[in-house]
Amino acid sequence: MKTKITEFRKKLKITQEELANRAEVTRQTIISLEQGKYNPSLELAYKITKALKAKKIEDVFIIE
Amino acid sequence: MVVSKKAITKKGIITRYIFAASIVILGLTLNILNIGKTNFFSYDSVGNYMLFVGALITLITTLSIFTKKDKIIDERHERIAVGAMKYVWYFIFIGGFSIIIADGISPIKISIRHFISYAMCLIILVYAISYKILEKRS
Repeated sequence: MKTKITEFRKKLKITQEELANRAEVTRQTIISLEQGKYNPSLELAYKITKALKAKKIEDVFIIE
Repeated sequence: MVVSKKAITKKGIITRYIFAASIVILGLTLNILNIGKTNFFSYDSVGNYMLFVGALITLITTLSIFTKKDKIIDERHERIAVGAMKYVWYFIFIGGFSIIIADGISPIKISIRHFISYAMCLIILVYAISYKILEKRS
């Protein structure tokens, strides 16, 4: 799964640590998500989308 | 699956302390009443082992209160733990069958006490290694 977390994060000017705190996960999980190594659950995908102030989950997470 | 939870919760700590206290009480009872010598086929050290395990759980719980205070466990950790457990089960099944075959070829002369100790150590080791590998991969 591809993600646009890094782009959204840079637009908002927030660090991985800040995003991790907002989504209530560890920084390692954010790193894995950004690298496309880990596929999140729907709940986590929703939390991250909300934390990144994106409109839809599909804007952040792209299924290949 | 929960997105995240605290590694150390009040309920978890209380449960662990109660478990440790139960083991210690049981160990003391076995030792005081001298049950081990007659009922566990000469395994009279069962009480001592229980006291040791109880003390160990108490120590680990107390230490984790201070060290893992702000640590959180998220869904990724839980998924890795499930994966590591899967490998532990593979190890148990494959290891079990290998021991049966090896024992059939040449009888294994090892005391059950040592066998259980080695098995437990290997299971913990397999879990720890699998967890670390899966953590690096994901």
